[in-house]
Amino acid sequence: MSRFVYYLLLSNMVANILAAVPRILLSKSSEGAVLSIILALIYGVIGIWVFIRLISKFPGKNLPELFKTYLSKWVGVPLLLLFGIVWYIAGLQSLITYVAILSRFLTPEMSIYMILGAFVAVITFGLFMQSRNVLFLLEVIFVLLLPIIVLFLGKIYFTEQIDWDQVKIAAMHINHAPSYTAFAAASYVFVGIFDLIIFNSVIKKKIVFKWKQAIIIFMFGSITLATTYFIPIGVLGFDSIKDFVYPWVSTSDSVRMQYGIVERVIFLFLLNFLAIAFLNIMLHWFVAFKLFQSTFSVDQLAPGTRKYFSNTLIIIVFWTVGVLVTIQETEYNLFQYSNYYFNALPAVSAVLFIALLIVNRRAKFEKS
Amino acid sequence: MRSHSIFIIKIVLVFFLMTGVLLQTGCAFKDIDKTLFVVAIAIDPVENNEERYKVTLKVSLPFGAIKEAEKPSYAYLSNEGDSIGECIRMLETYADKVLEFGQMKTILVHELLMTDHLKDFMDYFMRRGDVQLIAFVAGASPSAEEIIKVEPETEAPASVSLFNFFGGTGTESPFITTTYLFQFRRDFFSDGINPVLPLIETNEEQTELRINNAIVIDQHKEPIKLDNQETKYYNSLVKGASGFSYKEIKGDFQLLLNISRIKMDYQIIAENDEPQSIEMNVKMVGTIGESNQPLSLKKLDEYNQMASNTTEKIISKFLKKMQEHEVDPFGFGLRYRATRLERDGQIDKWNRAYPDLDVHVNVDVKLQGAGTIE
Repeated sequence: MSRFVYYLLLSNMVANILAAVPRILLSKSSEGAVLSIILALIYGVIGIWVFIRLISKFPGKNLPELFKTYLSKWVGVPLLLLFGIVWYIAGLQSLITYVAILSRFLTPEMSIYMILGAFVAVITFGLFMQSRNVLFLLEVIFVLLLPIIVLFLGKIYFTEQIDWDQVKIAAMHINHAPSYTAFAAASYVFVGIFDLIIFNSVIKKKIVFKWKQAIIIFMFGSITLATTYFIPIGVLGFDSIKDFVYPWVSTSDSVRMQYGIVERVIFLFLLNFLAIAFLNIMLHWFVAFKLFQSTFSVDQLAPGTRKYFSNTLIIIVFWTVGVLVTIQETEYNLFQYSNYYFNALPAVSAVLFIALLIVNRRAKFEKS
Repeated sequence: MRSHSIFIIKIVLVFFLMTGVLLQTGCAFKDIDKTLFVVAIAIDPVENNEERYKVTLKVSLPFGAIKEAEKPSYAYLSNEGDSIGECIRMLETYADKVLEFGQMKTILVHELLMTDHLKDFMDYFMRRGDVQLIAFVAGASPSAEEIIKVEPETEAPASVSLFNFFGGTGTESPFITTTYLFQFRRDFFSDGINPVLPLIETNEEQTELRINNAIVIDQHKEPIKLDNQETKYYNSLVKGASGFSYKEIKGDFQLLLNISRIKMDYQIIAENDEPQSIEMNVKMVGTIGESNQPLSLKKLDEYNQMASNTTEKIISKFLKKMQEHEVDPFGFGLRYRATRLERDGQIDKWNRAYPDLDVHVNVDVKLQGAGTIE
């Protein structure tokens, strides 16, 4: 499997350590979160296996192209619109969470517009990039930042700050029936790989998915989910974990690096995760942008002023909605809506699988 | 045409990014000379009024050059109010600069407030995003205000004594308990463990700070004070602190051990989820630091035996006392919950059984030498 596929997967996993997933999982900590996580791990790997089997038949083709060739316009276009919206919300959700974290912890006196402005500038630039360059950008940021993030997480695992008895208490709650919301939220860490519906067009190598890849993805998933769920419990305590709005920010604030450059790890931690978050939002929105382009047939236009204005229009809509929602949203709303969003995702992935299955059948039919 | 417009977009974006940099004035906070750094906060009860608090802030004052300053200089701001938040809000009007809590690393609480009140303080400190969760929490006697105003003679400019005591920053001693804010909150709200806070005292002339006692805190009970012997064993066993001060007496023979490594583990023996007893194993490795009689290296095993026996007795007595007071600084209850599947009423079962549990302590002292003389 191409290394870029792993990058896509990892970017979503890492970005979600800080975003909405842990809060939802931890809110279900005494209502079956542990079992949900285990189920989500299995579901995630199987889902990725199905998806890759379906899409690897068409190397160099992305989803809009496939839909255009094999599906009727009346089915394909609404589906693309649906996926576009889903991907757009994925990015929006990270955006809101990170803007909230920034304005609460890192730059408490900065206006929210200013913070959003920084996001607007960088992400807009990213949206106009070519798919290939987006992947290269992904690689550069990963090479630069992933080691630091791994160092931080490793540091947290080995500090005395963690009370392993608390972690064990959490694990002992395995005897509760799984919760659907926790399951959906936990399986969200795997969705990074679905960005392939657009990036498949630049990955020329055929993607293979065998036992080796399955085990690697399973490992990544279990490490991410175990870290996301158990470390905050170990540091902040099982009985009072539900009080925290940003469990991971508080967790990183509880880690002390006495001989580090800054004793409070939180600042370095947040900055690093912020970079990954930028990347994550950009990736999701890049996919959404491409999907919208095909939905409204902008990519059919000849290169020129009209195409340019159409693209700009999409981006302006992106940001208008983004800014309005970010400013309106309260923390409670965000939590509530993320819940709904995650709950809907397994259904959306089912729709994607069915559509791809039909595409596969028609392709086979046409060949014979 | 296309490449041309993309080029223009790029230029515009770069321009915006550049102007963005100009707008950032280096940091999002106020200028450093418009800021006062609070280094510690003390919370006291107001006399004859249960519901009001007195808050004192220790503010570090800037000076031109460290070389010129002989002593660090502090200012103290204090105010009374119904809650911590209100007090601090009013204190902001007592100084001409912004009070910055990001560097605040010690929270001192008066002995008398070590009960349910702590909930309110913690709520405020946790809710404010800028207070460090790795701040040290400590009890203060006779009052937090007196302790915060102590400026020890050993304090050097540009360093705060109250920070150096804790977390192995400066001095390291098995008598000093370090409790971080996040840790304190975690243990405070967890069933099956009681948090332990260091108790800071001072001498009569108020020229030094003394930290060698600790307090065990329970949400629903009066705090229980540990003497310095108990504090030391708590730190050694739970936090693995070690050092030069383990006294072993047998008749008129006295040994002072310098322990370099302590390891404690325990198991909770239960039958059908009904807790029966606690088996504790302690391993100590070290050398002899002081003796009132000449020693022989051949007899090290004998000394080991003697040290093991006396230590066993001390630890058993300490644990018994904790059981009598129904507090659990070691977190036995937590371990009980951690080793079996969760059930309703689990913690009640434990709480009922805990005061009468048998505790078997087995200490294994291993002395490696007798120092530089026999």
